[in-house]
Amino acid sequence: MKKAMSMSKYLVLIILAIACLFPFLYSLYISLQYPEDYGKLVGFNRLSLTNYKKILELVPIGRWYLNTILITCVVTFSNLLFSSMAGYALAHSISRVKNIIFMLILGVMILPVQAYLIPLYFNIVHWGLQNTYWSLILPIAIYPFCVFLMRQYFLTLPKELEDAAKIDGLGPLGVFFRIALPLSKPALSTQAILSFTWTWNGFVIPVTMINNSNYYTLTVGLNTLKDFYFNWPTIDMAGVIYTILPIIIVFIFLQEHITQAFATTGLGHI
Amino acid sequence: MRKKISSSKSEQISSYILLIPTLILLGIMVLYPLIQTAFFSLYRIDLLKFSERTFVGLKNYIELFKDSEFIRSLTTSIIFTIVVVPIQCILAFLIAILLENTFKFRGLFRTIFFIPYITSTVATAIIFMKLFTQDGLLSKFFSFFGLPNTTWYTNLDLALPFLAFIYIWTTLGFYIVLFSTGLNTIPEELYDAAKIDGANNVQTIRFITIPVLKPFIFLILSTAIISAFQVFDQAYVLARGASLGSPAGATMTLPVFVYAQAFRYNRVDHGAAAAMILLLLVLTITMVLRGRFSDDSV
Repeated sequence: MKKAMSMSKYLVLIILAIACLFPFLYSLYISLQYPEDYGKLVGFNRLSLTNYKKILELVPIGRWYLNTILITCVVTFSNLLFSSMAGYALAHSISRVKNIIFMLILGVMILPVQAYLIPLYFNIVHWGLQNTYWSLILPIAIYPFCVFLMRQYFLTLPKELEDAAKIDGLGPLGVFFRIALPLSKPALSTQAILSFTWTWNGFVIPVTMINNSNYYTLTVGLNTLKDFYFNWPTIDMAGVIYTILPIIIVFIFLQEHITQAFATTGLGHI
Repeated sequence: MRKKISSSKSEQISSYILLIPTLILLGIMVLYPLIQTAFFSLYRIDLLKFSERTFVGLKNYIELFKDSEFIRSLTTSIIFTIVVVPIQCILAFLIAILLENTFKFRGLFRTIFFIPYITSTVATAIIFMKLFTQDGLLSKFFSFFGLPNTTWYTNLDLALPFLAFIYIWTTLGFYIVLFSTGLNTIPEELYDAAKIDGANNVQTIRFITIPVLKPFIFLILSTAIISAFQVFDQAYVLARGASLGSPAGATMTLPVFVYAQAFRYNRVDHGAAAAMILLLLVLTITMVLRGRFSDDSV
């Protein structure tokens, strides 16, 4: 009886695991097929990287890769620096102004992007930033959640540590850069994981700000690829694999960290 | 003796220096356009003569509520949320409990369930579009259960269920992790005590797990509702560059309506008014649910 229970439990979990993995394996399999084999079940000898090469001739996917890597790196770095700075300031010497700023950050955290997207687009055009990297980076250079996350983390650091540093003659900026920041590696890695994933997968901002295919990110490029070549599934699926592969690889190495990082976004604490 | 360190003036100043980049960026990129949205929603705006906008008060809002397309998008979002959130939360809760009682491969399963959540929404939507075309693997699979073997996302009745299906598939792992985190906070002793009292599994869940988890449940519920209300990427992708919300507005959720008004139909004023309504709804939902949450946790 107990054994049967445990068996059925694993059966349910395995079925769910298949449901989660099957679409990815399916797209991988299709992406390796020859176009004429689509819809057929073929052996490994009929699989090749043709589509992965063909796609390079059809669309500037290499360029999209570079764009995505560039903006992901810049946004992640800017969050690590600026959100940490802000989080530190908000965690210390609480004043009324800072309380207001903190409430503001909390408010911005739950703001739907559509609430400011329309004027933001017109401003970006007006400032001559449409179809530039700036239009992809500046709107997400601060993820308000990262500021919140860092504030919560800095609140847990013992105050004595800083007091000691101050006695040693460090100014507040020195305390932040030399003491607090090096001590906050766990929170920084959570932040890096979140900014990296959000930016890599981001869609609304790039699809709105960019209409020049030279500045597409992978997600936007993939979406247009699908519109142009929808009847050529093997090509689409190669594009899908190109887009998701880096994230999947990172995830395999950092799985525990990543699930924990995202748990904080839902529960609001580390 | 401990030296008292008061926060001097220079300290105050330097801590504001740390805030400057964030304030400038959020101010210019979020707060300023947010105020502009409120502003736009009160004007009649012709994109060709942008400078000649005229103040019309609440007229845009009144027009919206007379616009059957807007009412439909509002209803679509509400129905979508009402259907998706319970399925998401109940499934995630049950799976989290199942995982909690699993000792072998627990981490592996949780990792696998999380993969859909961290991959690009655009990429996964495209995969499912292939699987749900006529004679696609999943269309065929569901035709065994009496559903028509057709292209789901171009079918008037099936497009919204298709959107719901991929949305739930994408986000389920996230909610499993949230519930798991909550379950981990329940002390083992409570379960032991229940066992001694002879409670069965269902009773344990009903009288131990759920009450202890209550603050978590409200938090997770509010996250789930707000996110479902804002579903956008997948709806955008499945429209295939044709008119947003296709087929014939079946997948036109409120965020998609805002976007379509502003960027497809050049009705910036209507888009802004709809965005304000979206904002108001999201804020209300948050206030109501988070308010409940903080009452409970006190």
